Amino acid sequence: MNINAPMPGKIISIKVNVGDSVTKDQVLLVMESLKMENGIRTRNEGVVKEIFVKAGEQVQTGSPLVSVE
Amino acid sequence: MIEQFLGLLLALVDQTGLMSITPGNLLMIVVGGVLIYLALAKKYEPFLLIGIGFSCIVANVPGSDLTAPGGLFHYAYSGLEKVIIPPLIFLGVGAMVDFGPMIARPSLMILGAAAHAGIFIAIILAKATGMFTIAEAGAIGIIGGADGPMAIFVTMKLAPHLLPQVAVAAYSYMALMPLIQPPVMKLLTTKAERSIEMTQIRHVTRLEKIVFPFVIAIIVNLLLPPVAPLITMLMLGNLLREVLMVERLAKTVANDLMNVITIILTVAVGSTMAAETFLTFKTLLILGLGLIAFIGGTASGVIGAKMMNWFLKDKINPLLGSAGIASVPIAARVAHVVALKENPYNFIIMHAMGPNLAGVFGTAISGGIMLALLGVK
Repeated sequence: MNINAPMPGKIISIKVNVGDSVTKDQVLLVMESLKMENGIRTRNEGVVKEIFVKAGEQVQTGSPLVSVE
Repeated sequence: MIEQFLGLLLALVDQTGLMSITPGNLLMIVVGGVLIYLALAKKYEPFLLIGIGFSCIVANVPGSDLTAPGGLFHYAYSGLEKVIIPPLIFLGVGAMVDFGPMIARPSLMILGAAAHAGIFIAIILAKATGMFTIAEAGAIGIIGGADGPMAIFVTMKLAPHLLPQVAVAAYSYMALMPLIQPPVMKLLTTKAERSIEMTQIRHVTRLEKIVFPFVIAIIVNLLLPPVAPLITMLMLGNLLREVLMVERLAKTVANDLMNVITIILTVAVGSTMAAETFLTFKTLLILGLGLIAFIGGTASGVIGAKMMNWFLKDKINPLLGSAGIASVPIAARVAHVVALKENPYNFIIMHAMGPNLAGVFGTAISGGIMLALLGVK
């Protein structure tokens, strides 16, 4: 499943790599919106299949960020 | 020889401010130090508090004429006195903010009105003390609008002699909102309410965003002339941002001009905090009433959101109500942080920006009504 941007903002850092196993509630990346840093988490455990963004990239609400299977 | 030397030394000391420093000055230097501490150690609005704290300290060191008429800081204050700085700040704010969240869900604008009960609570209490005129009570009440430039604007029109107290209360409480608001928000909501997740807001078109500043500017000039200078500049700044064709102007206004004005504003506000005018019983009362106005506004915003939920099928997170107090985007950030603590997937900041931006208009309307009722143009 894709994890999408919950708000517009800038990707600050990506905490996982493709192929990593992730657990429920783990922070996958950090994005900044209105000068606040927010950890974007996964609601499910699984394996990171694809990362759609790079650090420093601007994203809009709904933009796909990471795919976890 | 020694007597002559001592005499010279005393004459030299007499020329400095050392002999004129009072306990009040020392107390205000400590107050300035506390503001600097909050900015540096606690990271509470350093852009505001560093300048205010620094100039507060300097203004209480006797000797120089920095704050006297003709002094450097006095020129900064003249920008407030002649009501030049507040509209320029609004120009910058307009170029910085996206009114999309407010346009996308106009129903949340109600919260921008609901969160302004604090203003009127403070006015009633100030008048009830018998120590303030109705104009002074109005200036004190506007602290609850949590909008620094608007507070300065209205105070300069209603009771300019209260500017130091009102400006310090407004900016200090705005900086301290992350401490003031959460207890009130938690007291009035349940964990389940704070955890309500909001659905995504709709996309707002470029045309809507371009038309918006024209509509608001026309309505405010027509219906609320006393606050038209502020809102007109806010809308001009926003238009520069949204047309997407004069990026250079929008960026200059939002960054360079805003930074310059922020320095002048904070120096001007801090320099008014001289012990002889600031350390009075009325100041304590004004600070207390200002705090009541902030708490009252936060509470009425949250209660307003809960009341909205009585009629809504898709419930809104009542924390959004607290953002209606204005102070963009501080109040929206506070609502966001409190919501995230309950539910790490609940990103309500863009939703909170709707009532938060509506709060700017709520304060403007409150100020405009006050000025109109008191016959001030």
